[in-house]
Amino acid sequence: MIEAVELIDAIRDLPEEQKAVIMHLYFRASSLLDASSALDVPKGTVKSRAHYALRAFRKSISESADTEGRAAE
Amino acid sequence: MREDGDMNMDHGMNMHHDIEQLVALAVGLSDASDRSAVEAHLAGCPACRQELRELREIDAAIRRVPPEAFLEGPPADADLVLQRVLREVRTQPRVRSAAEAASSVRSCGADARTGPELVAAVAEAGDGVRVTAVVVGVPAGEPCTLVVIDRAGGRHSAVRWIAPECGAAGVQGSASVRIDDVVAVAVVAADGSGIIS
Repeated sequence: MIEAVELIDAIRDLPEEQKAVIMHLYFRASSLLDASSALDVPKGTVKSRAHYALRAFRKSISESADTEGRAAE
Repeated sequence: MREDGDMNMDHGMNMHHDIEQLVALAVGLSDASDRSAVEAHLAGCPACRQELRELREIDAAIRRVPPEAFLEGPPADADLVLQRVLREVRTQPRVRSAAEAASSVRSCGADARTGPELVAAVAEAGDGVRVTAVVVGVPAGEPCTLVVIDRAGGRHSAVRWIAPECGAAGVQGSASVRIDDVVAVAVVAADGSGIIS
């Protein structure tokens, strides 16, 4: 299970524009159209920022797991 | 950046779908035409199916995290957040002192004389536990971590936050520990020292 604390750190490290997309999509439950309108960017930009954010989360979680693995050795 | 869902050739001779379209599907942003094109590709591409599984795991994890946990300071609607947490705390079976929590919230920003107070509820969630807590009386700006302590003395971080100016924080997090092994919940400072349990 991915621990919440890892994601919190990863979200805090995101660039502001990606953080805004995550906040809209997840915590305001905005649709793609609503997020696009609220942020005043094209729908494709919302998707690409979500893409970069999730990629950053995966990298952060992966690095965290590697660090824990090395600490356990 | 492509938005058309076309295949690409990033993996040698194998044609793989645009990663952005996989993300859109995982997060629920795809429209019907995009979705059918991606799903047709997924049917014959184990690599993209694995990619989608990983993206959905991250998506599910984000959805388990409460919004207030991402705020650097007190939210503009701090009172509403705290009320919501208190409602959740009151509905949890292991709550022992919700009345104290209500009292603490009423004292938000007005009384730090009683020192830090913690009211927490622990509930089973999947293979781990979800912890909902109200913490008051911690000096503003203090980095805090809510930890779940197991029978062996192990500490499992559930959520981190910075103590807000108003002195009261409603937080929620999760930890990978079986509920039967939970013996305590504590708030610790950045150096690992205990603030309250």
